[in-house]
Amino acid sequence: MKKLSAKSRWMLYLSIFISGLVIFTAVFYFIAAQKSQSSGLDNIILIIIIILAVLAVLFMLLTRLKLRKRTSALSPEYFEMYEEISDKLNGTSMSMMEKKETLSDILDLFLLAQKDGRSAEDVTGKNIDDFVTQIQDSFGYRSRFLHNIFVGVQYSVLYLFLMQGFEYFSQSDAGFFNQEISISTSMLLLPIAFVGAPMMTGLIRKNKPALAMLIPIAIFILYIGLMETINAFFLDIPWVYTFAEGKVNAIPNVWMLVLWIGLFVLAALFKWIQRKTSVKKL
Amino acid sequence: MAQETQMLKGLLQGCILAILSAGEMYGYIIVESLKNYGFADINEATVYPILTRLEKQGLLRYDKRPSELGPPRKYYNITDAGLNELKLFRDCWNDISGKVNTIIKEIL
Repeated sequence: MKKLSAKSRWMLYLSIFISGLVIFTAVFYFIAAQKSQSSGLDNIILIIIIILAVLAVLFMLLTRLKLRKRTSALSPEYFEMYEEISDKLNGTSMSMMEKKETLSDILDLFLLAQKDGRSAEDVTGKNIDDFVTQIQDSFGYRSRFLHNIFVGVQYSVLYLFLMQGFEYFSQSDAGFFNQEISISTSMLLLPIAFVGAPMMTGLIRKNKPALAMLIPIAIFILYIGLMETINAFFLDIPWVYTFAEGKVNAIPNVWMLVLWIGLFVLAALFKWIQRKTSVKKL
Repeated sequence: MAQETQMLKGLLQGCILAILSAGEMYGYIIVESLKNYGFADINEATVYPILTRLEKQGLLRYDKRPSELGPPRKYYNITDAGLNELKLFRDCWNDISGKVNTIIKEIL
C-alpha cells in the first residue's frame, strides 16, 4: 500500500466503499426476498454480483499499482502530475488505445524534462484541464454532444441485452427470446445512457470520482421515488398503469437481436465518421 | 486573448512543419527548437496536441523507436501533404506579413 500515492489510496477506498454498498444491497435484497418467500435474486445472480464487485476493487488496485510501476522513474512531483492527467484522460471520449498512446508520449516528455531539471508545471502549463481538452480535440473529439448521443445509443442497446439476460438467468425455465422486461425498468435506460453517463464522464474529467459514483445512485433513488409516487397516487390512470406494471419483450426473436446489434454497430460507425470529419476540420 | 491564442497556434503549426522539413525530430526537441527561435513561452502542452493534430491530418507521420529512458519515442517526419501545406503557409505568411508591415510602416 505504501507504493500507492494518496490519490490512488483514496480511489481504492472509494471503490471498496461502492463495491461494499453493492454487495450489501444485493445480499439484503436476497435475504429479504427469502424471508418473505417472494421472488428475489437467484443464487447465481447474487454470486455474479459479489464476484463482479470484488473484481472491480481488484481491478482498481492492479490499475493503480501498474500505473506506479510504469512510472517508477518519475519524481513524486512529476508522478502527481502524470496521475492527474491519466485520471482526467479517463473522463474524455478517447479510446483505450489513444489514451495509452498519449500517456506513453507524456511519460517520455516528462522523463526528458525531468532529466533536464525542469519542473512538471513548466512542461504542462498551469491549466491541466486545457491541456487535456487540447489533446482530446487533436484526436477529433470536438463535438462532445453528438458523441454522447451515439455512446448513449450504444449504452441503451447494452442495457437492454443486460436486462433481458438478467431475466433469462433469473427464470431459466423460459428461453432467452421469451423473456419480458418491465417497461418502467427499461425506461430507466434513457436517463442512465443519455444523462447519467455523460455527467459521470464529465465529473471524472474534473477529478471528482466520488461525485461521479453518486450519479447512478441518485438516478436509482429518483426512480424508486417516482415509482412509489406512481403506485401511491397515479396508478388509476391507464397509461401510467401500463408504464408502471406493463412488460415488454425487447428481443423477441433473432431478427430483433440482429437489429439491435445493427443499431449498436451503426452508432459506432457514426462515431467514427464524426471523428474523421472532425479531424479534417481541425 | 482567445483570438491571439488561435493565431499563435496557426503560426506554430506552420513553424513546426518548417522545422520538420529540415529532418526528423521528436517532440521534446521540436519544443527546444521553437524556444531557440524565440518562442520562449512555448511548452510541450502547446506543441504536443498540435503534433497529434498534424499527424491525424496526414501532414506528419511518425516512427516509434526505443528510447534510453524507457517508453518508445515518436520521431516525426513531414509528409508530401505536409510539404504542400508548408508551401501554402509560407505564401500566405509572406502575403499577410507584407500587408501588415506596410500598414505599420505607413501609419504608425
